[in-house]
Amino acid sequence: MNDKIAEAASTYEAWRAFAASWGLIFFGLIFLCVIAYVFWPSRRQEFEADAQIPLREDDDDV
Amino acid sequence: MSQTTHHAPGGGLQKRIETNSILLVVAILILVSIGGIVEIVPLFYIKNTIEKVDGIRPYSPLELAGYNIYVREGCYTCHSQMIRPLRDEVERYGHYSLAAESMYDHPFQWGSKRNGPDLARVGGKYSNDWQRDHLRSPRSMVPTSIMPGYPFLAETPLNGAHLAEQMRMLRVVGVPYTDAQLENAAADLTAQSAPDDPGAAALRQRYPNVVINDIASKGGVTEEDALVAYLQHLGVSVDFKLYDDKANIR
Amino acid sequence: MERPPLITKRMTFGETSLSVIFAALAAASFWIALHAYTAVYAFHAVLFALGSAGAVVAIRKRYQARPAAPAPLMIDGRPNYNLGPVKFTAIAALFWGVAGFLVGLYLALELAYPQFNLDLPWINFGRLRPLHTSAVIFAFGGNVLLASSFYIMQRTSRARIAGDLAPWFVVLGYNFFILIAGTGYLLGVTRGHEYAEPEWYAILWLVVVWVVYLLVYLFTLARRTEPHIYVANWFFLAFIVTVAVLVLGNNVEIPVSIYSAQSVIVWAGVQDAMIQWWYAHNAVGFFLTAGFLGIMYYFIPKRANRPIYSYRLSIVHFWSLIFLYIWAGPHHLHYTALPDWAQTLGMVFSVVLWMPSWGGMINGIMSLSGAWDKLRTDPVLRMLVVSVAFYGMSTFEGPLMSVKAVNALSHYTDWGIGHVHSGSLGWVGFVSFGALYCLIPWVWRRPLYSLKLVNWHFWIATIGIVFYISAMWVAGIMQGLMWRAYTPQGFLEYSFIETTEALHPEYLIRAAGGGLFLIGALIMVYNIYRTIASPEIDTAEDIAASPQLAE
Repeated sequence: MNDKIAEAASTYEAWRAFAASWGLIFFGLIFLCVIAYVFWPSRRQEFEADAQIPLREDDDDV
Repeated sequence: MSQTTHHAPGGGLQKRIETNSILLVVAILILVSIGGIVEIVPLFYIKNTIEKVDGIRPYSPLELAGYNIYVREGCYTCHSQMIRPLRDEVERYGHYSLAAESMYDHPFQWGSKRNGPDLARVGGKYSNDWQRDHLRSPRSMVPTSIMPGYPFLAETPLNGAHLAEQMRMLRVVGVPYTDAQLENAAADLTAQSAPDDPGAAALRQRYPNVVINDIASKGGVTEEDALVAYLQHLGVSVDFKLYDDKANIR
Repeated sequence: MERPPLITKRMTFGETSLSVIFAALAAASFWIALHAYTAVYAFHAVLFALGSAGAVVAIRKRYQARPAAPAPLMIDGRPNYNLGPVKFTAIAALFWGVAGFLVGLYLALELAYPQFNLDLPWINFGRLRPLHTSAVIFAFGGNVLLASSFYIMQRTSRARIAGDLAPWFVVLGYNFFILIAGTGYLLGVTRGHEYAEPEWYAILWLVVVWVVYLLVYLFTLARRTEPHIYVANWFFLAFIVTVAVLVLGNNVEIPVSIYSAQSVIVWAGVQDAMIQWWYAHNAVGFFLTAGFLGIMYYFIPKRANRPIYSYRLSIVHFWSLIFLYIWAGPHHLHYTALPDWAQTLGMVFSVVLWMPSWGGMINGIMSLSGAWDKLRTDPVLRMLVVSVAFYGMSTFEGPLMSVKAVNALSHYTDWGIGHVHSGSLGWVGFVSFGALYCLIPWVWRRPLYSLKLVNWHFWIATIGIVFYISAMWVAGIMQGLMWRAYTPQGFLEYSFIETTEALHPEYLIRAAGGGLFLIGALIMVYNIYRTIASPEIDTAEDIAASPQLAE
């Protein structure tokens, strides 16, 4: 019985350790990339133009 | 269909996603799949997700008919069947629920809200008579109960014509009904609803621990009979005197 | 003498093929009705047969009435928007909203006074609750999403919606699904999965409708003359795609027979529980959140007449929200027989989810920066902004409740009901009302009848929500504490029924809150009726300026 407990516990611990270290770093890096991309100063103008899309349509009609 | 002629070429992944609806849909699909896959798929492969425990059997035809009525009337909207391993719950309702106890429930009936008490171990707690009176008029048994009355169940004959078909489908999805159980579905249904039915012995043999209804309604089996049979079977399968919870630690 | 038409009028491929498909469906449904195992299923098959036959007739009549040439995509250099389906779903949303709120009120009364169940099968609590949840989420919310997405996709693409019959197929087909689902609950047809009760044949129909919805969306985007896809559309696409995935995952089932309304789901027990709450939590995340965030990202900037606070934040908001949301389902299963590792994942991601949620809230509310005075003068904008504030509140409460220690107390109690309603009444309800108050005057080209009535609606409904959620907090925390209360001798202090009795006053306050919310909605219906009944106006300025005009 103790083997079983130990086995279950170690599988869980191994996955947990992996997720809490490499998993966290991996997703953290992706998140940082997204942030860097989005807030890169040269892209400001483009995004500001996008934000105007719903307002610009007023030229059309109604 | 995804491209129009107005795009400036290039400009990074975000821009391509932002200007290409198919890429956008694919990116969404990938992102929303990760969490579901990580959380769901292992449940089918990790062995100790469902405990190894003796005594759990598929529902008898009458119990299955009762289960259908339980689902049909939306009993799960007010009653959970999931006792949490918290001191008060275990004292109030009994041993905490095991995953194995609902492994033949298609669908599961764990519930999410207790407008009424948990029913995971209600089987055998009250007599058949109490259950019938309570279903017909809850406030005659519990004066301040807020449960709806179900007097119509006692007046509705049970339609068991297609239970065997349902059992066959349940076998397809993994409930281990035997050939004998499928062939004798109709006979077992009658046997469980009358105390002196000649088929009782065979029924008992096919479905261990089955509770045979002690009141046979005059006009044949009713929906109430079925529901009571189901309720009386809830939570009684596992003998917790013999159950070793350390063996199934997860 | 009439001039001969330039184009010979003939049925399009779509009209012909759809007529044939519907005729076949009518015949098949009729056949199934004759052999159905139960009367309810026969009734549903007859509804399918009548609906299909009606569709054939409608396509024919529409063909006879329409001009030979297809509707032009542009008129005088402007997109020729197709607003018929938008109008239909906007009205359908109001109808289902009132119906759903009414059923909710009745349920609240059933809990306060069980005599309201009348000992009848069709209106007992267990059958009515799915009717309420489906009516408000899928019928009301769904029609609001259809109306606003069909509007926004056209406006932000500056293109007419793709398809001729397809948009109508989506809106009528979706409402037919609601009809089948709703009548099914009352008559006892259910899969027994919360928020996913419709049986296999209703789901099959829904899947067809949903695929067409996605195609209409993608083909409309493909027609766009605007190079970029505005962020509101991303949220709508995430909503459509993910809801499809969720519905398919949670409906892997085998019908007992083609002649039976009943099906057997492939999943059982613990796996079924996990898949169900993966589905249900993300129905909240993608139906009630992502879809309505799409509404927020369009209507708040539009109404306030200023761009979204930070478009860059909206990008981060979008990707992190959809990635994180999907993990949070297991927090509905804390301390159950679901393995601990899954519960832990659910808890961690629920807490992290707080961040993108608040990012979105900040983005919505801060869009008013520099125009805060509009909150005072424009009750429609106030409704939209307060909805986002409620969103912020619920998305703080949610992560809190997903912490296991808190959940041990809150789970199974009315705290959950209160949490759901602060999100659904405050966020989904208000953002929907706000969007409809904008949308209906814009598409009907009439000024809103009365801003004063919007003001009344806002305050009555807000008071109703406060009654509702505070009553449920008290009820939930009280019952949770009573369940775990011990006497000094170490016995459980209260029997279950004593904890139920204690809730009666809170249940009355909740019913009063729900009643106020319903009254607010009725005021809205009157206001909208008067709006649509008023004569059309011509110029763009008048409608855009309508808040000021009516005050």
